[in-house]
Amino acid sequence: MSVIEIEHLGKSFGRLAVLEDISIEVERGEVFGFLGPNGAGKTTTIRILLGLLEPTSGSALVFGKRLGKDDALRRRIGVLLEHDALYKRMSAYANLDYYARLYDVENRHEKIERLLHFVDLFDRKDEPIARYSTGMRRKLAIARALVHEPEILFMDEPTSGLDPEAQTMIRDLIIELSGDKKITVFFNSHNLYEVQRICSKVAILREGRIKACDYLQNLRDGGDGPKLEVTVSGADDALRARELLRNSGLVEAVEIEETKVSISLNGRGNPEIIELLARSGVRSEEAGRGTRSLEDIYLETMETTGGEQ
Amino acid sequence: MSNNKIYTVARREFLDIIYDKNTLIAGILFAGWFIWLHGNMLTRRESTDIFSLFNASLIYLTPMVGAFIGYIYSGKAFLFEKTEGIIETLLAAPLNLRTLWLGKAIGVAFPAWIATLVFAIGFTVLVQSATGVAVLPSGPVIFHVLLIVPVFAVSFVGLIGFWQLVLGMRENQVVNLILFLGLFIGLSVSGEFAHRGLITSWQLIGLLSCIAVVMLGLTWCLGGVLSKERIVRSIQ
Repeated sequence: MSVIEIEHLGKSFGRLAVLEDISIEVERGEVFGFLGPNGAGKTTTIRILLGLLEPTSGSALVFGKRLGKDDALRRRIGVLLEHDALYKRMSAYANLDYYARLYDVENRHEKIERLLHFVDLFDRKDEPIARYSTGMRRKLAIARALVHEPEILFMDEPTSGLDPEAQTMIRDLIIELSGDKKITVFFNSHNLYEVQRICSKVAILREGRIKACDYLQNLRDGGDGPKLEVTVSGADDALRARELLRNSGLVEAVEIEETKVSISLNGRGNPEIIELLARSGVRSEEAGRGTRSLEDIYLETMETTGGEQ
Repeated sequence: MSNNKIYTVARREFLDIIYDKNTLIAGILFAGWFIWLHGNMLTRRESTDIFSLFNASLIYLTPMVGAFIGYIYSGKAFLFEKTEGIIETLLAAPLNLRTLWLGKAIGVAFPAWIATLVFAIGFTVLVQSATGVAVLPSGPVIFHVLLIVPVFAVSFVGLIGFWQLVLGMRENQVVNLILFLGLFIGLSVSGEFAHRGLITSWQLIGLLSCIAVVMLGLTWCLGGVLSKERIVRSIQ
């Protein structure tokens, strides 16, 4: 069941079109990564989903409705935007208590204490957060976004500006949220490594348009079915392997790059292909499942659509 | 609109001002400076009607003192939250925009009103000790300071908050400068009225009450013009 449905969404500020014909669906429990360079329109999309901006065309629905003035619906979502939205002079506990009151959280003291344990800040709950490190504040901001136990968490660049250790800490927390707590996460980022580690589904946005949108595994498989990568011992072997395989009818397509032979499979098993190569005297040094990294996909998408890094 | 949430927002703003020594001291110093300035001016005048001058000073000066201190305190509640990105998260919460805005206005106006009371008490003590005359505020003046001044303060802070929320950062700098100059002129004009010992009757209090109610109404109507999109688009 889709909990977030964006259909043909467009947004313009005056004559400037920021988003054009965006369509995305996010299922319950998914971690959705929204990738794109700065200024691509990621934050505008989140703002429209949150009901902070009105769409110029199309629709952006959460739980099948627009997040307008429906307070009950707003209680079902959590928000962690680029800023922590915490008050530095107040303690961690007081910060969470403030937001818990705004969200009408029942048994808030109990829930706040549980959350402070979850983000490992319970021992320092009474300190003004001005004394916290950036990473600790970010963890508290996650707790703040979770204080009312939302079903969907919207995150806009949650690890930006953090050191690598804090980034890992936040990533692990998000993985735990989607795994144990079954929270749907809509995750804006331009950090490819992070998205690859956390997200199950990805959309790549450039200049306000979706350039790719699919499950990460499908994108990595190239979208044209599974691939096999065989490294042969020399360039001649690679050329021979290409000819053999093209004429064998066992594969969809074959490409070579020096000694690497990339094979798009058409349903036949890997052993059959390896056996054919061995029988024909092509010496294989290594064979494995051919997948692309998210970085490859991103760069390819940007190149094919004329984007910049 | 939920009263509970207005209280929650107002309480946080109030506590934030109370715990911020710099902001608090700035308000108190301003009140102290005004006590000294107008107290001295009043006690040096060779007027036989010290009661009239004293009451007129409290009538005309207290709304301006409340407004000025409200202006000093309001930056933290509205503009600061915009620059820090907090406002966007609050707008995404199950919170009516008017509730948020009104809560902030009350939370800022309340300590500004307390500082105005400090001004009124300090002014009374200074005038009494300097003249040796036991002057006390009249009935209309007490009514004015306790009931009309807080309404003025809430309306004024609400108006400042409105502009700070809908305008961009650069426009806010210009508006703040104009406001500061306007308040200074307002303080001088009200000081002039005060030192002339102009009439302080229940009729005047009635007129001031009407002005305060109209201001509050105007502020309330402006609240209807506020929109999340307008606020978010002014954040850069």
